[in-house]
Amino acid sequence: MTSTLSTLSRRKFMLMSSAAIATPFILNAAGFVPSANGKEKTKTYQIGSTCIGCHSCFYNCPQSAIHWGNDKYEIDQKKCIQCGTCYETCNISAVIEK
Amino acid sequence: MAKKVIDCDLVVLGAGGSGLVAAVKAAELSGKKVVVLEKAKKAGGSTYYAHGFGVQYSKWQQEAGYPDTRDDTFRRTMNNLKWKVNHKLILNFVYSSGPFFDWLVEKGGAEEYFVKPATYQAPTTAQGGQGPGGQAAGGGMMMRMGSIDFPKRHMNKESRDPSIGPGWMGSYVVTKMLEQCKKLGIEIVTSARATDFITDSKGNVTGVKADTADGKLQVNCKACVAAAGGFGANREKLAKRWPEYADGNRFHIFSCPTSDGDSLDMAEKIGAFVDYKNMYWLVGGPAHHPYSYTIYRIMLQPEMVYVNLNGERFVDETGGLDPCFNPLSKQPQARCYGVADNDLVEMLGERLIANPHDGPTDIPINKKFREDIAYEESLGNELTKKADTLEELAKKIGADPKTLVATINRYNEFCTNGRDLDFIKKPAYLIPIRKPPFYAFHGQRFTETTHGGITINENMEVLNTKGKAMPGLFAAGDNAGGHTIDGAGAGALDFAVVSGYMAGIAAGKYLSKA
Repeated sequence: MTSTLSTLSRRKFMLMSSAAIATPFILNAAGFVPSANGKEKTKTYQIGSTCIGCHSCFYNCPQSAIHWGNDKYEIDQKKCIQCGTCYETCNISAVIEK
Repeated sequence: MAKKVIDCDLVVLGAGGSGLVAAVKAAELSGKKVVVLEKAKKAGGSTYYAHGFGVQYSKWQQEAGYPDTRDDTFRRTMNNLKWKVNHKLILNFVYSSGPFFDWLVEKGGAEEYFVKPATYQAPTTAQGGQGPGGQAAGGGMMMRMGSIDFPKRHMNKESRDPSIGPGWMGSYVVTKMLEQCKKLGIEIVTSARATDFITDSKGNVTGVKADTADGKLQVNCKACVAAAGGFGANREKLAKRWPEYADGNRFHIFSCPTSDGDSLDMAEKIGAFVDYKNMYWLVGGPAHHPYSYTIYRIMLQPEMVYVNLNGERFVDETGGLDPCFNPLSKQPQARCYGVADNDLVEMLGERLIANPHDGPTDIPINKKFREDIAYEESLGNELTKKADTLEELAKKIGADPKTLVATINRYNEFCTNGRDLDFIKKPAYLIPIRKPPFYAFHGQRFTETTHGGITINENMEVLNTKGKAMPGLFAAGDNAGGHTIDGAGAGALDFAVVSGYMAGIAAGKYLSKA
């Protein structure tokens, strides 16, 4: 196990360590099980200009759909599965649900 | 519109560090009913993202044999503030941080999060504030001398390397206090924006009006603690108070978006003296913020070479966050890159691992700093650039290759001659940039929050325009005046939580008497 961990990339390691604490995305804010095929896309998420860059959404996104944009995080809508994890983890309500 | 009424003894405005600490301490002391109003959807405020705070002479430090530096801290703070502030307030503040920390430790679980300080060893002169944060006011280390820092932040599962975010000291305080609120039955009303104080004919505060999603809310109370923070996230108010910085360029704001200074307006309306003149706005730059803390520290070392987006040097890099801020503001887009070569990055990384005290904080960097750099570079955005030639690096940061090469060649010449003819940087810090690969780390301006506003006396009571205390109205944290951060790069969270503790004691005593 140790050798596996040491060969992991930093990003993957962080995702692994966050998996234990992140809200399981089947129990998300929208209350449905998301699917990658996009059939259940009922809500969209966007990060507003009030983002302070605390990285909570970035590290908790199960799809790695969040990246640093121009002085704030942004969501790649093509990768987003509308699970709502970013919305739940943002402590300052900078993620907008529509 | 439905109007809901809540009756309680103490209402606290703002569920950030100060508000939660004040609410818990007052409830503990008096056993009365406490309600906290929070504008955001969640409790925590800016404290949730804050780094750490210095503690003076707590039990842990006494056990480890740390000297009592409280009087020194008091003198230094007062001199830095030119004795403009209430000295009794500062004395109370300095002497309350130890008891506050002991109280926090009593809540349990602290040993898992903090490393107990090792047996005290007097700092050597080599460590005496030579770092970029150390030049201010006799050394940033002085701020922290005899203080505990919190290197064990990775114990918190949410903690990663980034320079801000959950997992630092602030989120620990918030989490602990929310636990205590549950235990003590303190109600936290979220999404409730306080708008006005209600006063009786004598001018005493008897309640607070608030707006919620479900309509108006009225909270009747006997006392109130205003702990709603400054207006660090309100660009209009900032531009009004500090017009020189409203230049439209990049300015990263770390205040939580609800820090818009409502409590200052509310207090002013009922006759409190809000001292806008003596407010302090914490700004700094260039910082590799809010990204990797490790690169942030490397970037702040005096041997780095800062270039603007045209590829020109603009400042003596030794200054650090405070003095470099003004020159940075005048550069294109108010952004810059810190340039280093392979050897310099290695040298700075190793030096920071060997001596983590080289700067305003004692928090160690990630020992695998090369991984941090490689990781940020792999993101492919503006944060970290790496190239085999200076020309390529210039293209990556959007500068003219010829200009950057000329800048670095000139700088290397200064290094050879031992004199920086442009900015008179100390010869000891002149190290040539020669060996590929070359690195460029992004730096930008940032602001944390505003400090001060509502004037208070040493008992945390709000003063009116005639300088008289307003009974039953207390203020703590960033919206309370009297303590402006003393420019040593640390101290905002110190005052937030410790003043909350002091206000909690004052309000608790007031309620017990009433």
